[in-house]
Amino acid sequence: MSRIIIADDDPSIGRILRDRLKELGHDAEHVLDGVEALRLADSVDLILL
Amino acid sequence: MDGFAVLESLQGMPGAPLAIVITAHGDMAKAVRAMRAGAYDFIAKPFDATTVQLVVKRALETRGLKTQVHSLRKELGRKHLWVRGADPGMARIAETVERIAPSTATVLLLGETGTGKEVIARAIHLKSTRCEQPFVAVNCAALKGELLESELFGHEKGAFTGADRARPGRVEAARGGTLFLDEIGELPLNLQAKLLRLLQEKEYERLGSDRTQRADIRLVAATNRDLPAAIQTGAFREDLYYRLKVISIKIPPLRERPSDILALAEWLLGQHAAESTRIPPRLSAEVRQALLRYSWPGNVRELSNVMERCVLLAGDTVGLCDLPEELMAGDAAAPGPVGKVEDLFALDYNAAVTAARRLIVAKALEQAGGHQTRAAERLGVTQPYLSRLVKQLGIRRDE
Repeated sequence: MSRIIIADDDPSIGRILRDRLKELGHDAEHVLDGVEALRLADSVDLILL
Repeated sequence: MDGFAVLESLQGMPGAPLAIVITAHGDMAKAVRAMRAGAYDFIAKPFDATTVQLVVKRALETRGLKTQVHSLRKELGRKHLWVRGADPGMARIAETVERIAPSTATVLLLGETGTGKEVIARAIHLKSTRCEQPFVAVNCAALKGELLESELFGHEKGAFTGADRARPGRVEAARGGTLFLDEIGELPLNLQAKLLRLLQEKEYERLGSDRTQRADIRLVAATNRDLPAAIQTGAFREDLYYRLKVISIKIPPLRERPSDILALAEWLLGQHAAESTRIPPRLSAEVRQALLRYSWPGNVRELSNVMERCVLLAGDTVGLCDLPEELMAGDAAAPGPVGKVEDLFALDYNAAVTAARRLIVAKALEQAGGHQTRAAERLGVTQPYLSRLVKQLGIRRDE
């Protein structure tokens, strides 16, 4: 299971991507901005932004 | 902070995750700029589920390959060649390693500190079918409590004070590969239960999480502790012990395999010389004798340190003066105890120096009532140094 962060200021886009990636078996999390994404960057495999 | 600033920051981060940029419909300029800034790929809006799935899958495969390459480079950078000397006991260990490496059986390595337990653990990994996946080593004595649990199993954000973000543990980092738990005898009982579950069910939870994760590791554990004795005192779980010792390998101390000492010394001399881009010095006949006479309480690690010192201090040939004091003087393998100072004059120089050291240390211990810290203070040395001397010189409590 890979860990993926979705950084998008649009909550609906973030939620859709997060739910889809979770369905695919990934540990996905949505954050609203790049600062938060960078803060988590060293514990994830992939960032969608 | 916009996406380009994030991409720029990721560029300077070691082991950074890959980034996929989502662009507005038809905004090819942004897509090109993102790729130039280091993005792995882009997805243009409106996107469908299949596109997301394919791009993410490809990115994760690339990420996995990059991690493997990084891990293999690190492995190659380390000196963990399987050194085999002339000792028949070590030859048997080498055969055992060859036989058991391809299986996924748990291995328990037993031996004194410095005997090369991690070298053998790495050899098992490198000869296994998991060799292209990571080898992850954890020293169970180095951390305590939640920190050790978090190091092993990972944690969620807020799991304990200071856990300001989620982190995967070493079990996760070793996915598909080998997890080496050194000093397993120091593992606290609560973590012994979790390790047992990991071995039996292949399941664990991150600290602060209810979500069960699946593990895919081969476990190699090592200890210099007497685990059956620890079971008797309740410090180690019996069920875990039997789980760990599916295959058990006992590595003999260096003093029990003297036929390996010179071969190992020369190999280590070559390794350290190569690191310093120097030609390895030769070992003089006196040094060879001194190496064979010494009891090597720190085992191969101590021999390695002595050879490193020789590379740095010696010229073309290593002489006795290049050796640490304890080797120059010989040790307990040489003469027995002498009762009084006059007896020293009947001995040759090396034997007399060793006997004098025994006399001094034994007297200091006697005056301190057997208390090593007090004796060390009296002699003006540290307690660990005195403890080493007591072992090297073979001084008994009743002496």
